[in-house]
Parts: sequence; structure tokens; C-alpha cells
Amino acid sequence: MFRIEVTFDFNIINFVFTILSWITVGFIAIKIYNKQSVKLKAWKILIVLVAGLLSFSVNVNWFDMPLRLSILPLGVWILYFILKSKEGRWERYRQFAWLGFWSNTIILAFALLSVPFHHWIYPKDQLSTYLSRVEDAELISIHPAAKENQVLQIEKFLSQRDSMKKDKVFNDKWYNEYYINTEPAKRNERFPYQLIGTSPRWGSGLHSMIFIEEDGKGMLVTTMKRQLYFRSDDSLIDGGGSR
Amino acid sequence: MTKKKLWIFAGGGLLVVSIGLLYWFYFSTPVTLPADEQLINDIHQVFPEATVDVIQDKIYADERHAIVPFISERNEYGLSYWVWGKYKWQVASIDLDGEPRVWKIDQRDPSTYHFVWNLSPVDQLSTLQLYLIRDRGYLISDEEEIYNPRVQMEWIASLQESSYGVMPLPEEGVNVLNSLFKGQATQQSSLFFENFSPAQEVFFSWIAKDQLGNEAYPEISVNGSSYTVGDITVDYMLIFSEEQLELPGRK
Repeated sequence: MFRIEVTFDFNIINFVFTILSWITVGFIAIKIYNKQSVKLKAWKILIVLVAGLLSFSVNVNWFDMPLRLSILPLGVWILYFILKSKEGRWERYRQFAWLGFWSNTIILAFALLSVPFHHWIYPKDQLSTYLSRVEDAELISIHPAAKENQVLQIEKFLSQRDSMKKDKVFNDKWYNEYYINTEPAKRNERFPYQLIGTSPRWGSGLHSMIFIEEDGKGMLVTTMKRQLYFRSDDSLIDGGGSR
Repeated sequence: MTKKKLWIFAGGGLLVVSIGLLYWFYFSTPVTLPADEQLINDIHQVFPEATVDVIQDKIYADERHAIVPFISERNEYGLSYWVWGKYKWQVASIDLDGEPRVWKIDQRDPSTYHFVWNLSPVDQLSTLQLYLIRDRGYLISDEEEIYNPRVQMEWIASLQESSYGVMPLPEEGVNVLNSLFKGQATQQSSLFFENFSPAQEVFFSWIAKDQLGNEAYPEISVNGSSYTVGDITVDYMLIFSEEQLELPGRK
């Protein structure tokens, strides 16, 4: 059970782009190596590269995307103070140390580049991205407004999955009914069921919480970054109790 | 056989024995809890004020964790928490009041959470209602709308048979908490950081009912001191009133 969950959480796009960023750094390192007349040992270069990665960074928001920018090359400074003691040593390692520092930016650039790819391969406004495997789906009542023994109609859901319409969660009618006209102690929950045991598309790494509306026709998909609301024509749940 | 070889054999033997001893010391399979007198002795050794008079029961949460409810000489209904470690049972915490709490054996794993209580009969209670709550939340801005449904899950325990009880967090509750925790975990491991964390709004609460089914405040049961020796997490639960619940069917 746990293993399956781990594989379905795996973000293949992130993985591939991280590998690509390392390959890029490696490629640049080889270029520098070939240009240098004094040949350094590979493991020494590796250590200097990794040490060069060390940096002071700031978190900034860029188009609503929170990014970590490296600004002070701490690793490079430390390496300079260690290596400068011997005549000419720092000069041999300098380029690799700086490459280590700039690797932060290369990795970040690839991560940014991976975003549109991720969107392209795993469309963020499609329900099937978040609900790919539903065979082991289980409906949990999370509020007393839920009816007893409700189960998800898997066949029905699968046949309607791609035709469900995206909608806005809030509307004035509902808002008034819930918040203005009902006193807190009598409030109903509009989404009294949670769907668990489902998996997103393989490799998307998109974990979401899925809530089902009282009438069984609405699905509220909540990921850490966004929320989507889908409506179907028919109720997708049934009081069949045991399947 | 030369002397050198003999030494090697002796050394090897010693190594095997000491590894075995260490293994036994740290990974030994637990035995059942010792006799009542021994338990009382152990409690008094770390917390003499407990003045345990009667051991009511020994309840195993799992192989290595147990709860022992007791009554003190001052007629307090208390709880002691026991952990198997280093070849013996050790008392990790002692409560002189049995107000409902959640023992989180492994904080990151909700399936190890246990509700525990020991409510004094003086308070004359009949049932205990336990809740997992997450408040409803919504956010409307120009770009997006977010709605977090309210979670209000209820479990009921009877206090008629015995004053104490241990209830593992039921599976539905474990599933809901797991999905909330998992969302947080995936977020932390990513390159980007985020400050939106729904799991922080989740809490446990309780309501007690008297013999007539009315809401009751168990004054005696909620007063008392605690003493913690070990590294364990036993969290208080919020005492709730029915007014704080949502009951759509309520008249």
C-alpha cells in the first residue's frame, strides 16, 4: 500500500529536469577541464563544485511563484580562503568554484523550465490529472451532513470524468444560504464527503484532497497550489452501502 | 592450535556475545507489563505525589506502548503511559487527572494516535464524545477562490462500564489526517516554498454527557497535575460545547 503511494507521488518531470541540470553542469565542467593546461583530479573538482554550491539565498515571489535566489557565493569565498595559501592553486580551481555557485542558478532555471512542461504533460484543469486511478476509492463522511453508507459509483464516474464541467465554487445564492441565513450551529456542510485511496496521473507528483458535494454531483479538488471545482450531470455517489 | 589463533577465536566469540547483548538490550521483544506492585513502585519512584492506590487495568496500545489507569489514595482517577525500551517497561508520563487526551505515539503517523481518558465516577458521566475538527475556511480574491470544507468527525465512547478507556483513532480519522499531512510533506520537499498549510487548523475536542444525556462539565476529572519523564507526546484536547458543533438536523 505504502509503496504504491510513493510511486504515484513521484514527479517525473522534476526528476528529469533535475538530471538535465546536472548534465549541463557536468558538460560545462568538462569544457573548462579541457581548456585548462594543468589537469586536476576529477574528485577534487567534484568537491570544489559541491562546496561552491553553498550560498546565501533569498526567497522572492516572481509572478506568484516563490523562488529561492542565491545571491552571496559563500562557498566560493570559503574555497578562496582555503586554497589561496598555496601559490597558483586558487587560480586552477577558481572556475570550478564559480561554476558550483552558478549551478544554483542553472538548477533553478531548469526548474522554471520544467513548469510549462509539467503543465503540458499534466494539464492542470483536467480532472483526470488528479483522479487517474480510482479503483480503490473510498468515500469518508467528514461531517454530520453526510448521508450514511455512500459509495462512489466508479463506472459512472469514469464515464463522466472527461465531460464534467469546470465551475466556480462560490456563488451568491449558496453563500447567502450558508453564511447569512443559517446560524452557525445549524450550518450544513456543502462538501461532507472526502474521497481517499485515489491516485493522480503517474509521474505528476500532484497530491490532492478531493471533496464531494452533498448532492454527489460536485467535486472539489484541492492541491497545495490551487483548487478546482467540477460538476457532473448526475450524482456520482450512491447509498448502495456495501459494493 | 597456536596461542594467536586462540585469541582470535576468543575475541570473535566475545564480539558475537556483545552484539547479541546489545541487540537484546535495544531490540528485545517486549514482555507483558510487570505485576501491579512493581508498576506502583515504578510510578512512585519518579512521581511520589501520585500515591497510587489501585491499578485499574493494563491496556496495550501496541506491543511497545501501554496505558495503565489507576486510582490514587486521594481518589484521583489518573493515567500512566508506559513505553518498552532498553529491555524493560518504563513509565513515560503520569497524569493525576484523566481528562481526555491524545497520545501520539508517532506524531507523524496518525494511525498511532490513541484517545485516552479516565473520568472520575464522582462526575457521574454516561458518555464521552470525541471529535476531529477542521474549521471551514474560505478565501475570495480577484484571481481565485478557495473553499476548505469543515471537518467534524465524531466518535462516541460509553463511560457506564468503566471510568477509563483507550481508543485508537478510527480509520476514517486516520485517512483524513494522512491526506492533510501528505499535502504538507510534498510541499516541504519541493524547491519552491509555500506558506499554505491546512493541517495546522486540525484539532481534537471532546464533550461529556451526564446520566440524563445533558452536556456536563466534569469538574473533578479535569483537575490534576501531570509528570512527564520520557520523550512522549500526549496532547490535551479542547473541551467543546454543543454550541460549537454543527448539527444540520438540530431544531
